[in-house]
Amino acid sequence: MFQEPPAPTIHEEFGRTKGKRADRSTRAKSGSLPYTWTMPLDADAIDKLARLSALDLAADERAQVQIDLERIIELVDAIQAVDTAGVEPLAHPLDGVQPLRPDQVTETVDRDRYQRIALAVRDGHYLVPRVVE
Amino acid sequence: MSIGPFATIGQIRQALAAGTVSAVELVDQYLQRIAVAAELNSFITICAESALANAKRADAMIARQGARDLVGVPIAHKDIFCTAGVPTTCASNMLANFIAPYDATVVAKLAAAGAVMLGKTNMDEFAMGSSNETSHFGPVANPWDGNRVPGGSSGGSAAAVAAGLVPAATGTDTGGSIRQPAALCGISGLKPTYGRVSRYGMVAFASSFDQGGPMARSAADLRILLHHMEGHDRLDSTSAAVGATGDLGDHDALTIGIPAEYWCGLEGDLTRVLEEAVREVERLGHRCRDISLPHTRFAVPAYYVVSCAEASANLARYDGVRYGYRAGNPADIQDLYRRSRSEAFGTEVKRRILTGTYTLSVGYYDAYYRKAQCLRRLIRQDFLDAFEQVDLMLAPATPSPAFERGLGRKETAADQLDDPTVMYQHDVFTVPASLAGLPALSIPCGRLGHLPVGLQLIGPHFAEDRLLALAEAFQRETDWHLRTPPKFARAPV
Repeated sequence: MFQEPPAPTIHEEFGRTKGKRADRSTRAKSGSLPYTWTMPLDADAIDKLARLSALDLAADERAQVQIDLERIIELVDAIQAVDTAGVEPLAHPLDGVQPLRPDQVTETVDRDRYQRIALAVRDGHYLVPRVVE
Repeated sequence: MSIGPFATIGQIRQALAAGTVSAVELVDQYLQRIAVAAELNSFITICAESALANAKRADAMIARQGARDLVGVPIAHKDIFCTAGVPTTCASNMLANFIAPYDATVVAKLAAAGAVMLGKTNMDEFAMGSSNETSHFGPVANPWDGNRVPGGSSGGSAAAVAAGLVPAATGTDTGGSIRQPAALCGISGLKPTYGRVSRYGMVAFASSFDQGGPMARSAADLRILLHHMEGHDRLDSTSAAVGATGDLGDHDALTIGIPAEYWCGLEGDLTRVLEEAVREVERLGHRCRDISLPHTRFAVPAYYVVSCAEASANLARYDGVRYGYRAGNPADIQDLYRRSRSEAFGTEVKRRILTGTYTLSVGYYDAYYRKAQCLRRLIRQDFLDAFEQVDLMLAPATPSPAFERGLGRKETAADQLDDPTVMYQHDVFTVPASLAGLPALSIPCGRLGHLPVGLQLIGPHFAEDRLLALAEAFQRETDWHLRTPPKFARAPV
């Protein structure tokens, strides 16, 4: 039977290594937290994040991003201290559900109007660099 | 001309009805003031021509049918609301060339009520910031002190209203972006319940938080504006199908909860100023009692996880193809995407996209995004439990009055350190209500030195009527909302 490959561990995924924040790591191991990482993001991890975000980062920018993200992650890591076993995630502040409307065509697309604000258009098509050789 | 620049919408409507002022005169006056106060940098686009044309139309309408609704009342829109034919930049280089092909629902509704748009106000880029320093078009100054920030992200709207450049403006609030600048500029600002005001045509930052609302000189004006902004919209699937906000009129004494967690870490004598506001509320006949919202300290971390995750998804649409900034001479399509985004997004926007990408990544999703959503439920539950005991809550809007530019930036001999999380913490008292989708407002309640202090009132879902009733009662007994920044106090220009 087909089996899904195990999800990569956080360590593998973003190259966090043991080091600076050992205090937290220790707590994670001894406490109830489901993971055992806690390290600074390395340069490869920043490159990967930039690629996933479709952003190019200059060398000096990359160094600053690394520092900033470490600070932000340290800030948001506070949530790890809360036991949320049995708590359902809340995706909508009113716990609402998506309302549905009758499946009827009500809108038309005015292509010319929308393409007027594009910087590169020809014959009703958006122009992009060649993607098929 | 018998109406000063700090008149309320109520006063302006009376003057228009009585014929003591015309809509054209009003537009002239405020355009002159906007020009004189250019140093505030509170506007990105000024629509002098269309404003005068619309004011003429308003005067003709008043002559024909008398004054009604907002006919002839000048307003400004935060530059996050799409306006057909007028640039909508979201204070980003990404949208510096963007002219929306349609009006946001809020814009259309206020225009239908006869309001005259003077222009689009400055803000933090994509509404990401608490100081209006991340705008591509430069920072906005606080009218009370030019070296200090007006707050953010709706800083331009707040500064313009505070300086008497426009009687009222729209804002949007994701984690405090209406309430915090309202507090720092000494005006009144309301974040309605999530879903109360349509998000259609509001450039998206974090879709499960974003909510448009009014910013004005009094709570009574907030009520007037909300009436013309709210309502179910079939174009926004998260728009709530609820009735209009009612007017409680004379209401019974309320029980007001004072959440203990909100009174830590306040700057200087802020506690004393806010305690005086509590006494004023008690003098109005209401009973204040201590309550606890135990998960409050996890609100800022949970907020930055969820809002950055949503931002990273929402801002994926900016690819340099259909609209917005397009990088020149791309080598291939990936290069077009990456360079368009890298060249046009500012530092804070990139930071939040990267943070969101990180917390949504394989292996991190459960530890961050899902965990933060669980926290969101716990924080919301704190409020729901407390609202079993109390009708409203009273709290500080911000931990300090307006701060100087460059919060979190430390200049050392070696380099410049800029810690973004210092700024994030300034949202500590506004993000909890945002996470819970609750309505909340900020009104001026005193001074700390020469700077205004904001009082926050938080209500149960869709209890805007109760919030506004208390705020209006407070403003009938106090005059903090009538104070004007000395530098801009002289009328007319």
